Amino acid sequence: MALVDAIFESVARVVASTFHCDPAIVRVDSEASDIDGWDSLSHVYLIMAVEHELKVKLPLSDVMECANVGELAALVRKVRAS
Amino acid sequence: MLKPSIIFFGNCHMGVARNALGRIGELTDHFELIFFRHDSHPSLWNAEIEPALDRCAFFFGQVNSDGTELREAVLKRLPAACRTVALAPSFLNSFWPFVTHDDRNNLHPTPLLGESYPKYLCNRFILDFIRRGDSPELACRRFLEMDIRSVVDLDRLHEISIAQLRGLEREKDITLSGFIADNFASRRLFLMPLHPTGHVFSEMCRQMINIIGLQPSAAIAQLLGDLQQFRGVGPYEVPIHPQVAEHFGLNWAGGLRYRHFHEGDFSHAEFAERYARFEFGYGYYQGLQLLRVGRKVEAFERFTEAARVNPRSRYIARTFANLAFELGKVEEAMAALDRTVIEEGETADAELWVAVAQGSLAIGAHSLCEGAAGRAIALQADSIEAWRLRSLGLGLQGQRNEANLAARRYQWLRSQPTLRPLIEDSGAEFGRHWMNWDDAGF
Repeated sequence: MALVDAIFESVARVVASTFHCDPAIVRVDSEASDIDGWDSLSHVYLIMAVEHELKVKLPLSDVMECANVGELAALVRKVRAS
Repeated sequence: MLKPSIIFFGNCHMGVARNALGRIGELTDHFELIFFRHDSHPSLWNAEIEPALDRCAFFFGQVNSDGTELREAVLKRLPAACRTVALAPSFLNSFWPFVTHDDRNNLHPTPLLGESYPKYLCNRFILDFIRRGDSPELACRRFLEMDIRSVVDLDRLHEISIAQLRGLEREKDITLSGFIADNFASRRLFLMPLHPTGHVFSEMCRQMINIIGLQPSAAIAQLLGDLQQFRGVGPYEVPIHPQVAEHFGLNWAGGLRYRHFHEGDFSHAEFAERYARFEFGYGYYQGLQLLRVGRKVEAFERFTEAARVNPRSRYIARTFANLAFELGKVEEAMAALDRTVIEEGETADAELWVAVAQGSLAIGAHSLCEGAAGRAIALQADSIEAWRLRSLGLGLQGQRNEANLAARRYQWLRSQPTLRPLIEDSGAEFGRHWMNWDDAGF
């Protein structure tokens, strides 16, 4: 659980850093519509930042399907586990 | 009987499509073409769109994240026989890995589009250097000396960008991701991540024409060819780092100068320097606002200072010259136009040469007036004002036969229906944004 939380916290930090928002507002169910500046275009930069900070390469077909921060963190967890 | 309508719904890309297809007589003879912005005010919905919905034959609806509700509402109103065509907004991030938000925008009042340096123009590396204590000049130098490829995986950025675009186009009727992927290196397809050039619009319109069912024709081929010459939408361009250009083999990117609103055109390095210093000619936009409310003398003072700060901005020079002519400051106007002609060189357009001709006429330089008008006509054969000035210039030099010929051409053009340009100049279009600025500060 601690590792799960740590991954989510890391992803949330990247989201906050990428979109210059308060990390406290980034939740598991936070979607693009909840975060100012997060849209289909800027999503590309978020993926780059997540991959860079968490040292993973995410399968593109899966990452495009992530609907919120929690799902993005789950994908990172899954890739790391494999 | 009212014609069936073709509705173009979405962002400015759809406006360009509407204007372009509006040049096809075969189409406008049978359809009314309407552009409906995805973020339109509800009052516009009723006034402009309501009557066209019931007779809509084709609905080209861009699927935008911030236009979903309106699009869904429109779709429910369309007749059963309407062909609905879905497409995604086109974009390309690959050349611009530095995008970020810059809080310095919040510190400076700005009249246009909310920010002097929108996020696509901002640079996270320069900002990081500044945050660490570097002066703007040092931060810029460090940035220009960086090995970009060692800190950004450009191929991965491109891979993600294309995948994103393909994903958004899944199950859409018009797709541009393949065209973009195949041509991004050999042609300039985007001026900034969201603003396509004519190449993209030409392909988009080609697909639209196919869907409508028009047969290929010389007129359509001409239109699509003309569209490829369209510079593109938007009031600014995001510079491409030379290392990025080299990495992707962008042969067309060498020596490019990038427009920044009405500030002028800058090389990549020049832009980086201005950005690091957060330079922006606010006086010019204040001058426009003063001009709008009729305070011409004060506006002229602002423009004079703006021209000093941005001596190479042809937009400022032209605005300055126009007002100088109005205020009777002909010599200053001509000096500004001279600078602009030198600055723009071969890229000078007909409008500039008309201005030179007008100024020349005002100072009695009839030969110069005739010559400048001739240059304008060479660039835009249907320029009514250019023919008028040519006629005057020739006549005042005693060349009556030639003057009469030019006068006849002028009269004929005046008698024709207004010849709309193919595509509205996006630079003029965005000027309307700051004309909404409240002038309470003055």
